[in-house]
Amino acid sequence: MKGSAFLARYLSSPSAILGTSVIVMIVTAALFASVLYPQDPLRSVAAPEIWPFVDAAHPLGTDAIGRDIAAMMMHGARTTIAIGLIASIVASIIGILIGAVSGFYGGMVDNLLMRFTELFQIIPNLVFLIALVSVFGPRIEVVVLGIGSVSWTGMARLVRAEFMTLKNREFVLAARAAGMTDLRIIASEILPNALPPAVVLASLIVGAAVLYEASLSFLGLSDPAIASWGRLVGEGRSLIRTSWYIAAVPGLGIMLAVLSVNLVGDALTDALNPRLGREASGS
Amino acid sequence: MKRFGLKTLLATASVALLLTGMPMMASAQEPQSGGTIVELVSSEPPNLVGAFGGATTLHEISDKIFDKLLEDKNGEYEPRLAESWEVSPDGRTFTFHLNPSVKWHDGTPFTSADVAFTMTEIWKKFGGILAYGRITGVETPDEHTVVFKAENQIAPQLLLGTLGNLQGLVLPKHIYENTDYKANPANLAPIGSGPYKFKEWVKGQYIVLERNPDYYRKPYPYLDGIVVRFERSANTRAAALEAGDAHLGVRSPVALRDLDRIEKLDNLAYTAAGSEGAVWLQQMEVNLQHEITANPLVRKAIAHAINKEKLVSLVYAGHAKPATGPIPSTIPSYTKDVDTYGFDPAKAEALLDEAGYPRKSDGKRFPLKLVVGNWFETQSQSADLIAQDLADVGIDVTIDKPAIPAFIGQVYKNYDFDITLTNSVNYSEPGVGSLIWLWTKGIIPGVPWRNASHYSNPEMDAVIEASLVEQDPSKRMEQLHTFQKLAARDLPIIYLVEMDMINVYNKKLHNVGNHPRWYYTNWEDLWLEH
Amino acid sequence: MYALLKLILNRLAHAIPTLVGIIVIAFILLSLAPGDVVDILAADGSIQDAATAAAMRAKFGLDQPLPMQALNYVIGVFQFNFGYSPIHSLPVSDLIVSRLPATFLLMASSILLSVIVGVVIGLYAALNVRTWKDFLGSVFAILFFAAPSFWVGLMLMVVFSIKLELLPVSGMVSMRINATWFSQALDIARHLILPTCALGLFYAAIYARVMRAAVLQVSKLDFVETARAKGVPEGAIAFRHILRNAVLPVITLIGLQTGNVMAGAVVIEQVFSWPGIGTLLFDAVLDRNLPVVMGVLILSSVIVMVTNLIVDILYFILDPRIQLEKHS
Repeated sequence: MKGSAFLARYLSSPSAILGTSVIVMIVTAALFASVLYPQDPLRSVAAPEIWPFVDAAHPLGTDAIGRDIAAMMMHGARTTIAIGLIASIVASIIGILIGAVSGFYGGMVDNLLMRFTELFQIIPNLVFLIALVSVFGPRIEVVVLGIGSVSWTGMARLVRAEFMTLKNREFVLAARAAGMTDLRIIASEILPNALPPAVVLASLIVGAAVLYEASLSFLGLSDPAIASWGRLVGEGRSLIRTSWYIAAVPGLGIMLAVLSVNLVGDALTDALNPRLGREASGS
Repeated sequence: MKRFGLKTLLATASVALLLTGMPMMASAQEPQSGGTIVELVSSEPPNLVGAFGGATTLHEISDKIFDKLLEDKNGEYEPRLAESWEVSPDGRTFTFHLNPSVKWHDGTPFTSADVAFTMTEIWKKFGGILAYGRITGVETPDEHTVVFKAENQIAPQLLLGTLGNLQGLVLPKHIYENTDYKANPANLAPIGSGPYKFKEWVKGQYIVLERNPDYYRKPYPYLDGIVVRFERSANTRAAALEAGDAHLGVRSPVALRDLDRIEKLDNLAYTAAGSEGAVWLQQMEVNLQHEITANPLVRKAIAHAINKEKLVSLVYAGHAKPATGPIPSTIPSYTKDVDTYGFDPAKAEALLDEAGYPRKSDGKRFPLKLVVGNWFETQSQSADLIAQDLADVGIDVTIDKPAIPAFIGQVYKNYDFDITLTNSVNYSEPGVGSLIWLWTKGIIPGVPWRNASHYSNPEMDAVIEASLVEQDPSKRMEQLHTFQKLAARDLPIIYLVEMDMINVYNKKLHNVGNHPRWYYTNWEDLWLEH
Repeated sequence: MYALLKLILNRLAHAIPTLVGIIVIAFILLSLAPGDVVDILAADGSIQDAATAAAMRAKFGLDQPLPMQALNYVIGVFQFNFGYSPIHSLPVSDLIVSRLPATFLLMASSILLSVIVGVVIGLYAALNVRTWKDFLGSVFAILFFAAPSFWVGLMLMVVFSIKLELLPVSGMVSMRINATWFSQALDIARHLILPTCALGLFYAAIYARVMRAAVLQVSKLDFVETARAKGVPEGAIAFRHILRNAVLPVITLIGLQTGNVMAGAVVIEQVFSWPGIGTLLFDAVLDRNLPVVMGVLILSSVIVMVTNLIVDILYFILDPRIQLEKHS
């Protein structure tokens, strides 16, 4: 597939443009957080409970103890992006490893690995995540690895399927005949070809990971030292009867982030696979 | 022989009547019997027997079902299961004459054997209570007399203040004898002798208590029943109260910032009354085993660096006041004549310089780990504000907010903290909950709410130990004042604020907060207008 | 009938090693945790000496070697014994069973809502493909697929309970005394509405997308074209031919999503103080009451497996292709 054709197809989709621009917005917010709000965002800087769009100095208002919501949102964007990305990478690595081995070798290995994958599909993800956090403590590395460890099953199945079709193609057979080791065939012959759909799926995992982290920190079970958006929603809960915006604003942020990632993921799928994409969109 | 009991009660009652009685009678309504109320609590208790120690909610419910020998009303003692009592002049023999008409909820008569059993098998074995540890013998000369003996003297206020508090709930011997006490099924469906009987416990939702028709103090209780509903989040508690689905929430059931709005509602009211004799202090325990914080100058600097007024206004929305020492201002033995530490960052910086910790090139002096006991939202918010205050004077604070059981292990067993944010509950009798934090013998690894600072000062120990045995009330008062002065001078614990414990209630409910330790009493006189 | 029985037996045989695997994972987590049941008891100061602690450990079998403990745990779970919750002084299974009905109710109503809303919106969007109606359907699906359910719950609460005062804020029952059976049921139904919407709309969004795609695909298949050529009215085609086939992927998804619905319920229960196993789990995590946490983990997995089986049976009954295979 030509890169430029792919890009053209991608950009022809309005949802791709919308999604990309929201992502760019969030990333910009994260990058400039320290420039616009150099102080600790958890610092109390003004009167409590200023509503959004009332005071120009605090455009999104302040929370129950006078912290600037805009500052917390911008700094929180970093956490949200970082957790989403890293968790997705962790999930992708686990999923690709298991899927590749399973699909390449087949037989008993495949059978065993797929049973293992099934195990993780059955255990309710968030319950497992909560169990992990309660065992190992609510630390950021536990949360990120935990999210990764409940999000890899889809990736494993996808990569396995790709490997199963690709492993009998001529170029693989040729490589085998040339005496390449299994590891080299997997890594340098099959994997590059299986990668595009995997990347699309990885982008969708980012969205799911953001939601997992949001749920955990909303419950107060994520790392208490980190002010992610989910935690802000959770903290806004107790004043929801009067100052409901404290919970509403960060929730909107989560929704926008996940939405944009999903839109981009969908557009990528369409662009990668025009036939399937057209079918799904009904033309 | 000193006689407490009926006489004291009659005397206080007649004074009260003279002062307020007549006009009160005219304006206040006659109490009505009947009606069932719904009370909201924030968490589900593990069981309903407070005698084994445990969480606050547990005690709140347990106190309605079980009864005590006497009731401590900020230093005044009212008879309950015991009609009267005598303390021998040497402070070694305490004789209680029990009310012969009391029955357990299952109909079994209450006797001195129950009290003796509870003392030897429950009170002395669980919870490590100071006063009970000093009792060396229990005698039951007849069915309605029980005698506690002590080889060493006990200050009468210490023992009576403990018996008259939540540590004094008497358990039925016939239910517990020869069983595994902590696994007894009655812990989940208790048989008590108090004004309310246990009826039903729907796990995860509510507990129902119903009127004990055989309660020995007529005409109490007024209510037909109390439904204790578990409601975890403050905003849903507020909603249930507003909608009239619930009548009462104790210990600040709603967000403190929400109280302004609640006050304007037609059906609800709130009061801070009812916790003057059971005051929650927010405090910062400092680890004296840590090289830097072992330096008293550093502790004083921290105390000056923290803006308590800001805590009061931002975190507590004004429903608190700055604390000065280990005994809160509403307790009879309080003294304000102690060293105080006003908000003064400049002074804090000077003290830190003097202590030998100048600001380094990055502006920081030294790091400290602040471990937060994160059971209230206000704790977490306070920690954030305190960390900023300390950062302003160059102390680099890392906040750690472990889950509660982990917190207890970390702070009270492994002492893995530099400074920690906790609460203490301080009763009218300081021997119940205030002294142990600063006593060398309070350093007990693995037991929470004790001396985690590792503060050990012979001068302080002498004062504390004297107050445990002192027979002369005025001398004891002086000892308790000295205790507060030493605490404020040495600062092993930095006292932050005295928290108002707010009761939010439906205006149809009467007698809310009419006891200095109201949420820990049996609510026999609580009544509902209908 | 024989084929169905064979399917069920096959699935059950498949499920047992999976279940053992899950139990073993739970046990490994339990034993990795710093501190055991006895340490939890010690945390509230009720065990103060080493001898008592050792006696307690012997009582709970914690003094045995690890593999032996693991075996005991697995055997225990198969006998529906998940261990003991020291904090509640109750067996973990009792605790979970007492909370299950509430969670089942919430899950069932959410799944029902999500299927109805999802199928209707998906079908409607597909039948009006590339019109503004289709676009609205897509916007619904995209928004609710991205919104965190707990936040949707909170916002619904703000609108319907706080501002409009139409629905109760939380809990499962109002504490009114002497209510009749009917008024109690009605009361629970009123409490159920907001949590159901909060949890169900996310899945409704998924089903709407899947349904729309499935309808579009099915409507191009031969038998639909044939029916159309025969002059069967469009409405009848939509319901008789398309719906039945297009709903199959939705049913598959319900099976796949049960675990997530269950996990979602854990969060939603927190938002609305719904007294189910989510609330139990949350409290257990805060208390570090790990036997309960693992009990919930295992039992929720079992529930997912059972639902998967039910979905398989449903699929078997509904799918004409499998029916055909059976006849041939």
